[in-house]
Amino acid sequence: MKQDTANRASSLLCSLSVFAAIAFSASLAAAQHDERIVVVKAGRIITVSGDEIERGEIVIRDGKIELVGRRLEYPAGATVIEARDQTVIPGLLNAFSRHGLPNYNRSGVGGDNKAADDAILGEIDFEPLVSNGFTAVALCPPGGGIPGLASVYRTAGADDQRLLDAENYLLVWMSNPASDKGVWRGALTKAKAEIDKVDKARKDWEEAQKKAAEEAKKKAEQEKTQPPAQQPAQQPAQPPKEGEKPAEAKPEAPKEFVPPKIDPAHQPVVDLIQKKADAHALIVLATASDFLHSDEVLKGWKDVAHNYYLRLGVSSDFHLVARQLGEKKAFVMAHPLIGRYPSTASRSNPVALLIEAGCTVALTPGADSTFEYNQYRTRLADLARAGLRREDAIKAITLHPWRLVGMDKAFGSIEKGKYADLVFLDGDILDPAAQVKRVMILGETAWEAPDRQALR
Amino acid sequence: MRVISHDSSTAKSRSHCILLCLLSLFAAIAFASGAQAQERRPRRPQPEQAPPAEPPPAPPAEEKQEVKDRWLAVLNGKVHTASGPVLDGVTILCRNGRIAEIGPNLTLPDDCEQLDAAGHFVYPGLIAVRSQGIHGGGSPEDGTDVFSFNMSLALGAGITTAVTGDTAAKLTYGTLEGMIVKRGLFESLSYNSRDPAGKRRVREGLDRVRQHLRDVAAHEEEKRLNPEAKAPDDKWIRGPYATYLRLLKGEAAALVDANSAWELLQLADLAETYGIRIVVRGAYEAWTVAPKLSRAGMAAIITPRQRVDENTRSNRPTGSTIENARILHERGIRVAVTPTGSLFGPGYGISLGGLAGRDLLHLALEAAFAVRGGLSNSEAIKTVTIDAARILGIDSRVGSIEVGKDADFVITDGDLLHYMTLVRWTVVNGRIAYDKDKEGIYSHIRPGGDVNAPPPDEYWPRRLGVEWRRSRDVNAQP
Repeated sequence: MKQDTANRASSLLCSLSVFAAIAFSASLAAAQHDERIVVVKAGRIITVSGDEIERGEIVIRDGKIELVGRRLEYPAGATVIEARDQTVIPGLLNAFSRHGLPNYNRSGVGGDNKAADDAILGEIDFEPLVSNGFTAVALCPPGGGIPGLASVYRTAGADDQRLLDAENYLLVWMSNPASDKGVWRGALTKAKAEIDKVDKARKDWEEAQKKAAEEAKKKAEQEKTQPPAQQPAQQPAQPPKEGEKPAEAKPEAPKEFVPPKIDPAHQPVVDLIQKKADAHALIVLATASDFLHSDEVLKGWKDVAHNYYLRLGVSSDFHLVARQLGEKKAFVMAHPLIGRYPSTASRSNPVALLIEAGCTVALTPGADSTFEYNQYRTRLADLARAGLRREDAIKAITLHPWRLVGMDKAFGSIEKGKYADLVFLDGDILDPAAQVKRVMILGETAWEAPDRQALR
Repeated sequence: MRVISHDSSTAKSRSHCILLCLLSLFAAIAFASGAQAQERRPRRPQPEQAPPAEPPPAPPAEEKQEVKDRWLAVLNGKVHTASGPVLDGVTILCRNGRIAEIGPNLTLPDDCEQLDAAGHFVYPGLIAVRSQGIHGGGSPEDGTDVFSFNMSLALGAGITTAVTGDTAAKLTYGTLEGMIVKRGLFESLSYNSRDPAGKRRVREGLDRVRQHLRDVAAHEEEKRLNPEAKAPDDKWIRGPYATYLRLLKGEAAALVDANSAWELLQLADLAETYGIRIVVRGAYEAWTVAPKLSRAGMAAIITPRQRVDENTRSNRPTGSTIENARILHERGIRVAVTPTGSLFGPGYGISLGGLAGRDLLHLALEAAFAVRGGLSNSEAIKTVTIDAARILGIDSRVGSIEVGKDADFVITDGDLLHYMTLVRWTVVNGRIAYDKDKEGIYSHIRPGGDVNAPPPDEYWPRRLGVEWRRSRDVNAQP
């Protein structure tokens, strides 16, 4: 039954895409020759946004996905990548990492820092990330408290295409509320004071303007009502030109309002309070109690856009606040981890629990190590085996991390208009044995698995 | 009355029960008619403590319409009020974390959470006058892990309020609401014979501030005649002088560690000379100088089980005695009890290592040792409830079961002071913070509260859960 509908859907998609392909090839005739067309012939395409497509094609034009479907036509000059024995998935994002960055201690509020300040691309070895299917990584600033802004990079590809966003989410640690709570609360209060400072300056400026205008008006009126005894004396000096208005007191030069400077360390927090587009905080929690502490701080700041990063450990107690997180429709990031309920040996599947409670969950590797990157999909498969639904599992590693960094419009699934950052696996995405065979960045092969047969 | 036997089948205890019922009936009548329970007053009038305990947080006025009242009823329990009589089979009705009504046959609201405590004993939540590892460091409401295992353990021991640093805070499991009871409990004072110069400084400081207070009073008088009279300079009242001012004004009590009779006498002298309130901690030789301490209006935080040998060369009584609590109580000194501690941790900690029964997990048993020393059952219960609250100055909110006070209860399956007794529920601010059946700590011991139940058939640690047991059991059928 399910298969039937899937078939029907895919045949519909197929016919649609044939139409589209015709239109596409028609338009192609007029297209210039320097356009790069790449066609991926995949064994299976996990589109994430739609159905999975068996034996489908992806047509890529100039690094962006143009068409996805079955039996697509494509121009003769296109580069064809034969991968009929492989599964193609969208490129993964490691949305919380310090991979290859120096570590140092920093505390307090440092909103003027960003990870991009530390990252020297030539010196970071991205091989462990790329070879495990991560086409991008959100590098985080070091230190505790509010260390700064994360920066999102591609892990491979041309140098000028690497940096995707230098100033992404604001990292806020709440894993040690005894000190972090005060920092976060203080930062919000200070930011509000900065906003008030600017508002007051603007008000003062407007009032001054009004006052000046009124005074000028008064002066003009005075001059009008004054007997023109003095005027003749002045007039020869300045004969009024024709059509010019009578000597109206010159309004002061319309000076632009110069707002007082906002403390750069608090600028991102100011953006959060002012609900600037794309401004959001990632609050790091270590225990269930930290969530309550964080919630208490944000009680007075209802509009601050924030997501949570639950640092899941083997015996984390986040199940105790799963309901509350779910009621808030929280967006949380977590590690793919089968844990156990604290002080027991009963297994827990916190990710499945959080999704069931109503949260949206994105995943990230548990640590910055080649081993953890390597185990990422294996651990995900464990979660799926322990009850996490397949579609939830797939979204949690593909689309949702991109949503966390606010780039899901351009990344995270295989659909028209998105960037062709793709990963080729020699098995299913939830098959722990499946290896990454090829990584494609903007339609170009950026990494290929070494041919073991040839090596032998 | 001694500790109630759990052997409820004996005629003796039955007669006890009847007696108790009659007693409590009389007492209930007295209670209902508004008569104040008989309280032993300290010998000297004591000024009110200031600042007062923080009032429980009230919901904001404008939101009152939307916020539904939170009701909890504890039914049919045998209620030890601590400040008054024992009421058998009454209902305690709590609204928004405070006790709204106590009595038989109360009408309950529709959305009332109910705890059937039939066959159980209800006590006010226990107070740990000193603690470590329950709340977080620094400011408890910022640093506390309200889901921590230590907190569950302490709740399982019946503790609902604990002093962390200089703050009395509730064990609000699962919420940060209503945690702080009072900050700035004590002024610390260093006054011991190892530092004679320091002692002199304290006395001189107190003299100076006392003179200042007299000058202020004289100035008030003078102002009536001469409105332009100059007020005495008070800019120098900072640091230790501010402490002395609070002590002399009676706004705070001083907390001093002292044990030997000599030190205690010195403190008693100080308290009497300057009229300040002193709480001594330790005080194992206090029984030898009890009348003097009593006259000086001092209170004591003691450990009945503490052992210190006597000095055989002394010509006066020395060393510790298990009768300490009883003697101090009989002399009119308010006593709170704190556990003894061991090599593996202090008595005010939560310890799962070393010898059991010497830390806050057994606070009630420490009070039972005061009973061994001759203190009555009811007075022993007071040493960990209302008297502890009075010493801390938080008795307006916690420490006894009275209408208007916070809904903090410990509901046990037997007499609080009996060694077999386990806590069944702990209620903090009208919320069930501990439930023996749901928390995996003691749930396997006498499940359902049946004291005659046979021991469990196997002894594998329950906390490891069913799955673990199954995985170990090679013969288990899938």
